[in-house]
Amino acid sequence: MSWRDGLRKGRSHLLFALVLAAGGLLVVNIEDDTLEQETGGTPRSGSSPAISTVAPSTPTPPAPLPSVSKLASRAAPRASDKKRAYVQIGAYQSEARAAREGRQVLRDLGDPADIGVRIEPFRLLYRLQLGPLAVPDAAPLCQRLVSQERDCRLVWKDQKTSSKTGS
Amino acid sequence: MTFYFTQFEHRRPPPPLPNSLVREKIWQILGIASLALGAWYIHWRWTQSLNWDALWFAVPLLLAESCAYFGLILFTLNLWKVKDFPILPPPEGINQCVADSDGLDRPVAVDVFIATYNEDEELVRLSIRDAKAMRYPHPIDLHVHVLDDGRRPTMQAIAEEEAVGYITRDNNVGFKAGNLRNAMEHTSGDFILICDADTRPFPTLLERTLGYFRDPDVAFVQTPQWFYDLPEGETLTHWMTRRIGRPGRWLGSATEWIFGEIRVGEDPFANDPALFYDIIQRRRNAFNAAFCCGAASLHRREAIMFVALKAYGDAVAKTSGETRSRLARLTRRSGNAQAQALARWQAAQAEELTPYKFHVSEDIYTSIVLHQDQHRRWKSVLHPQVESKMLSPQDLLTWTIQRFKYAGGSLDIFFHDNPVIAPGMSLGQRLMYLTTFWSYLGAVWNCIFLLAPLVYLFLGVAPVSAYTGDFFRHALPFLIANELAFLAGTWGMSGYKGKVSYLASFPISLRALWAVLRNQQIKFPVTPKERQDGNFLHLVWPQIAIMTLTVLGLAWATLAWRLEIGSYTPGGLIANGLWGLNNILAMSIMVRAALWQPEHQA
Repeated sequence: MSWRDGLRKGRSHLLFALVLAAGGLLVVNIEDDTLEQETGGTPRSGSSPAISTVAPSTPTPPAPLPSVSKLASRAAPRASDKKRAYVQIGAYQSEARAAREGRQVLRDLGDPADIGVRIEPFRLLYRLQLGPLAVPDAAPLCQRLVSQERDCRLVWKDQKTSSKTGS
Repeated sequence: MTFYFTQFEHRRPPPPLPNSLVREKIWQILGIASLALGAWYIHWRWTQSLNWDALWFAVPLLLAESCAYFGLILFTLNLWKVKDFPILPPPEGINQCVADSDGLDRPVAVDVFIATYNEDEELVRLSIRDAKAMRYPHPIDLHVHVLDDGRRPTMQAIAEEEAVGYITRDNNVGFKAGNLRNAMEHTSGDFILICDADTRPFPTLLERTLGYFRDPDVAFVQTPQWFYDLPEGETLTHWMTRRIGRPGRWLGSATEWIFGEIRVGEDPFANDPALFYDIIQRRRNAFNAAFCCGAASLHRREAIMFVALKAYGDAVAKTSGETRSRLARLTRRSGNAQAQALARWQAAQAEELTPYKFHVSEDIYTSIVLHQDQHRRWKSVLHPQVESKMLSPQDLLTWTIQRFKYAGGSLDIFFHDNPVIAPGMSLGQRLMYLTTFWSYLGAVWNCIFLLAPLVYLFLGVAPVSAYTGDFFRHALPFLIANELAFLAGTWGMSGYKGKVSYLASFPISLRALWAVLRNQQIKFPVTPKERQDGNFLHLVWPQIAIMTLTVLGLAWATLAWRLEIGSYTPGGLIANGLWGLNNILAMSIMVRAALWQPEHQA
């Protein structure tokens, strides 16, 4: 049997492999775009998942899922005019998850009295932001957060869409 | 007389797949890579990506994935290597086929059993003539017998016209197995060739297979079953030209130029048994675990009777023990020698000697009993070349009956007389039988795979909790390696139809499983050899339901996403859409089969 004949007979395997690869790349790109819009960068592998995916088993595909939520832990203090900035440290599918994470971050920062948690719904996600802050205060805060291996992006008080400004 | 298959008489079977050491090594390397990547994926699924917010969905799917992965391990082992038995020259006399040949110096004696019940007598005549035409290079004592469980004078007349034996009985106890037992009581050949009413042996069958019996431990030789009446369909170019004219011809030609010849309407029931015989059964030779599939198999009478007597002795011993206990309870005395003899006699009267066990899967049962025999270590051989031709099921009802019998028979053995845990077999043999049983249990997890995308599409619930990139990083290497491995492992064979028909036949296996779990007896109806008339859509309602629900689910999820209802995302929709599309394509094979009309009736 010639190679050409063997390949022809087994083409369904090759086609499946191609569809899987192409479909996988497409879905990952779409989901990554959404995540990047949210966080300004691709999430680190192994970090706590903000997105759930459907797993299949045989010729397969995936899909995202949000879960339940409620409650934001600690209300953000009223923002003064000077304090126009927030730092965004993540986006989560569940509001409760975002609130929980916010409480944890504040604890790790030593529960500063002048910083609160703001949770902003965006599409299917909940952004977790700390603030309000005066712009000069944002950089040191970001440095502390990054040293704790957290993400940190500067966003403005009234900004409703995500920013890629970086910390 | 002209049959629908008369036009196919000129067809010749394909040769066995050529074996190549290089290709085998490539397959083994890819197979191991696929299993390793699969293990990595399954481990990641259990430890890092279970969606704890939807355990009702996440856990069943993950169990299904794990079971499918275990099946993959077994299947990889099954396909590991080709090890054909050497074809030896046909024996000149029976003394070359037995261990103790003292005083034996005569030609080999072969009985050909053609089992029939209600098939067209003229169809059986064709089988008789082909059986008589088998050649042998040495003197041979060949007897052809028609075993007629229909007790038809017309059948008897044809047997007389053709100068072959006619054996019948006054009941149908044990159906085919009972019919064979009755014939064994009336004959005495050294070897028995089992044929169904439509089995047409080629002239070469005996000269190519009797040589295996030079090894006195070979109990039976199974030859591949080949359906010579499978519809060939038409090329995509021709099909599209007929439908949309010149544009169709261009489109069809371009597609076939890229992908090679594509045939529309070919083998509508995915009946082609080549994958089963040339790949699965043939590679069980390495484990001495090829099993008998009835028609077109050649048996050593001594082996069949040996295990039958052993099973009879065991049954008598067991029953007489129970009878003794009963007697002791009744008489309130422990059994004496007289009572023991009485109990044994009663048990011997009650038990039946059944060379072929009265079971819907008598062929696989016989193989199991032979493989379990620890004293002789009987061998089974899968001869790779096709040595006969037969007819395929011509309608979905017939196909369904046949598949239900296979599934029900195998599952019945698995639950009630499981050889995997019983003593006697080698580890390899146990694993090969487990592979067979596991494939029938696969209907359970296939069902979950069919329903999983529906859960997401209708409810927006996903069973996996992970970044999409993470998920694909773990899943894609495994899935792609798996496809490439089986491309190499089944080189020269199209695996698509086997795969989709396995997925699409889930209702049959589920029904068989349900019947076995409720201890219902799997019925023995004879598989019709002629096309049954009627509409068969009622047989595929589960497949239609899956297709309809998937389409509705896709429509709903797309609408919900546009209206920002629920938690749908484009990525999720695309992924589950592709998954659902795969399921729809698989199901559509069965629905098309239900609507299929042969050319001579269309």
